[in-house]
Amino acid sequence: MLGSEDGSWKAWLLLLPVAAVYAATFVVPLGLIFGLSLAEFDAGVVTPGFDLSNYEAALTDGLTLPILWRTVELAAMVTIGAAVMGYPVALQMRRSGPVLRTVILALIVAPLLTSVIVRNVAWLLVLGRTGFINETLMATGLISRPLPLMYNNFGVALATLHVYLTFAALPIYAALVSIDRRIEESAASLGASPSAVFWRVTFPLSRSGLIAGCSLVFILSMGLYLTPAIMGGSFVVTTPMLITDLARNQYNWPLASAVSVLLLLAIGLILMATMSLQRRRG
Amino acid sequence: MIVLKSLTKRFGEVTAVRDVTLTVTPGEFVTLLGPSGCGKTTTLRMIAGFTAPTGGRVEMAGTDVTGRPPHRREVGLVFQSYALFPHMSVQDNVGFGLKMRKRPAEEVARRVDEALGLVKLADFADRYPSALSGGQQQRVALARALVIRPQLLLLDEPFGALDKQLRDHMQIELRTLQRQLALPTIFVTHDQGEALSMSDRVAIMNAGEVVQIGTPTELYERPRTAFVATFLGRSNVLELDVIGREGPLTVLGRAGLRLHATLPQSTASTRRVMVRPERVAMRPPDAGAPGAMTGTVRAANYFGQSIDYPIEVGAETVEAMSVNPGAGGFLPEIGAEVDLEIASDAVWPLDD
Amino acid sequence: MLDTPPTAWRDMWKPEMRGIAAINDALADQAMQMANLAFGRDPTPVDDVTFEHLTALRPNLISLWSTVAQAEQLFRSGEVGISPLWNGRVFKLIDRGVPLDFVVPEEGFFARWNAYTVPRNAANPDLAMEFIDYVMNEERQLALAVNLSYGSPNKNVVYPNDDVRRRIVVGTPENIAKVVPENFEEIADNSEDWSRRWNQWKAARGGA
Ligand SMILES: Nc1ncnc2c1ncn2[C@@H]1O[C@H](COP(=O)(O)OP(=O)(O)OP(=O)(O)O)[C@@H](O)[C@H]1O
Ligand SMILES: [Mg+2]
Repeated sequence: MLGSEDGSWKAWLLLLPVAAVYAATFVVPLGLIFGLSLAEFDAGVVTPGFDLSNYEAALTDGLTLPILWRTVELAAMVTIGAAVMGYPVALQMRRSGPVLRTVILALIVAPLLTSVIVRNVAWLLVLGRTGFINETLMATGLISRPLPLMYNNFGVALATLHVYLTFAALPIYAALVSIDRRIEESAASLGASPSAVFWRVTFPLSRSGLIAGCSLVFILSMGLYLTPAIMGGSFVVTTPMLITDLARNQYNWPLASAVSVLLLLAIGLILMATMSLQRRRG
Repeated sequence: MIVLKSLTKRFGEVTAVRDVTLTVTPGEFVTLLGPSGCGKTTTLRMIAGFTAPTGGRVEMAGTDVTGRPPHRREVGLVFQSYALFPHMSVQDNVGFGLKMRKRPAEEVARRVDEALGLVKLADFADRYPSALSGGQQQRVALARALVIRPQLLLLDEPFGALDKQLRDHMQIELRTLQRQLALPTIFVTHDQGEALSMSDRVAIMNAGEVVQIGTPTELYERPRTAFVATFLGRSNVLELDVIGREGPLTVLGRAGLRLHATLPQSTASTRRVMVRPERVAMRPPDAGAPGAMTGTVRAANYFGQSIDYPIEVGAETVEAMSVNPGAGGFLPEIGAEVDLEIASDAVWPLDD
Repeated sequence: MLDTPPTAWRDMWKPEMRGIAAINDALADQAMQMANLAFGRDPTPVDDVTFEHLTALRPNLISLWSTVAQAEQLFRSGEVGISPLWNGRVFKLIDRGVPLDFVVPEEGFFARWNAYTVPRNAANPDLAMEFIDYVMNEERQLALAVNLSYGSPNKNVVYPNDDVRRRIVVGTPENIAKVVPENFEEIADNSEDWSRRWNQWKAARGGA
């Protein structure tokens, strides 16, 4: 791909459509948001400008940063959950025959095919104060008051995990199936017990998939908006919810833009930190 | 001593390995040779413990290990694909088995050095597998298997991915090492030359069964069946009528073909025999030697060191091979008539 | 779910409401003003005292809802036992058999309305006015009142019976007397500040 071959520049032409789509749906809006974040806002009037007062406001209002931190916490909870639960799913998929594998795949992809509203109402029936779990526990006398399973971080994380599990499991599965079984068999023949084979060979060799999956889940979870609103009973406030409130209820687009840029920055920083940590260990 | 007793493996309808019985004596190099799909790998996997046999058992040093998991079998394993740990350096690859055995660090370091010296890779200890050539990777795989001092070394087509020269070189190295360590070895290949040149004994497999076991000489000179005769080297398998007897010899023939063979007494009216092409001698016609017969050269296949001549004798075609005699030697033209001579000890009767 | 029906906003603060109350997140300004009413204050100002009261309410709140569909779901599934909700929606739920009642709180309530607006420079102002005349006439306003419990500003509309008047809430003089006027200018001017404080309060740890 040094460009000396006759057709190499034509290969780049093939990227034009996707570049155009990205420019239109991502680069341009992002540029607009960035520009807007530097504009002035006063009593509902936006004046284009170039100052950092929106960032200053966001960083000092005692609200944006705590909520950003809670969003990171929530995303981390979901990510860890998705990794811990997605890995065994991926392992089982690799171990299974084609039929069982398809069934597992269908099960973990199914939540994606269901509307977020329907899914969350369904959770209400399970986790709610009068939901299945609480009713059962109350009936058996194990608890006397319903457990707070919803309207808190736990409920939001669980409902999110349910959907995003597949984003962790599939990259891990892809990494696992690309491992030559004979590598693991070699380890076993050299005296490694099944758990040693897993921790010294399988797991390290699947780490790229794990990192990819975790990154995906983390990024998606940092954008959570509807699920916390419903499952969190609004008590779990995420940065995207704050941005929505600023833009939709307060019409403060410049501040909303500044918070958006901060969110993007936070995601980027955390991903970069994780990657460099991984590289140092790998 | 490693003993396989009536080892059998069925995958549903398919019987991959049927009733394989084989003993590997201390220090012996035994090769499993057979066409693709005949069950070589499956046999090896049962010995290593990755595949549970449907029947039969595996014994090592007098102990039945059939139900023992792979990591407790003390078997060194080398695959065609090397199967090195890509995330570990060469020395970590080689040291893996010792670490699993919880050997002290100094001992690991020392034995890894030794093993790398043995395969002439001492300077490559810190490299990663991705930075090694195929031959180097294969030697790492070998060192990794040897360093644990296994009771048995299993190699599944270890040289399949190497070019001819490197393969020849590695064959000699492996055999030297194996002799040096007196390590019982089962080697899988479908390369007959490799099997003949390296092995103490060869087990020929076909469709899941061992059809004949013996030294390379035994198998080449005295194959039991047409399958063995044709699978190992080139051969003329001829179905001939019993014509009569001349002293201790039986005369066999069909159309213009006449052979004399030492055969056990039998009442059969036809016999199937094998003649190796290199035992078919060609002379210019009218040389008038006794017992000679005349045929027509149909083609000449040039291999450099030798030339193959399919020669039509009556209704049969007999393959003759002559070592390249150079410009002064006898090189018949295509279409020419030649006299053939086949000594009676070159005619070997087959069972089927 | 409740042994004694509530009569006032203040009842939401009672210990027996623990974990079964909800308020509206989308109309947070009303919720804040309601907290003031409940403690005998004027609707405004929304200040630290307001949020002290809201924080005291926190253990009782199981959820904040932001769409009516969500509120209906909460009542129907039995998650919530008490929440401010529009009369029209409540009576629809009652008609469908949800065990529920609508109470006009002692401290008074806010009544909001929907307005038709013809924007300046509208393309068809005459047509727009004609449309407004059409929807505002007695017949259609009456249908709205009977079926959806919307009170009508059209003085010619005569509600057919007491039940309809009760459901409309602002259909009886004693209820009209309880309407607390809102200072929309103050609400608009302070919306940014209120909103920030509301978000802060929501995001604070603890609660139900
Ligand atoms: N896991 C399996 N499930 C079903 N059939 C199998 C399985 N493994 C092997 N077989 C079948 O068993 C037979 C023997 O296979 P095996 O791999 O032992 O052959 P091989 O002699 O090693 O061949 P090759 O020289 O091509 O490596 C084949 O017919 C193969 O299709
Ligand atoms: Mg094989």
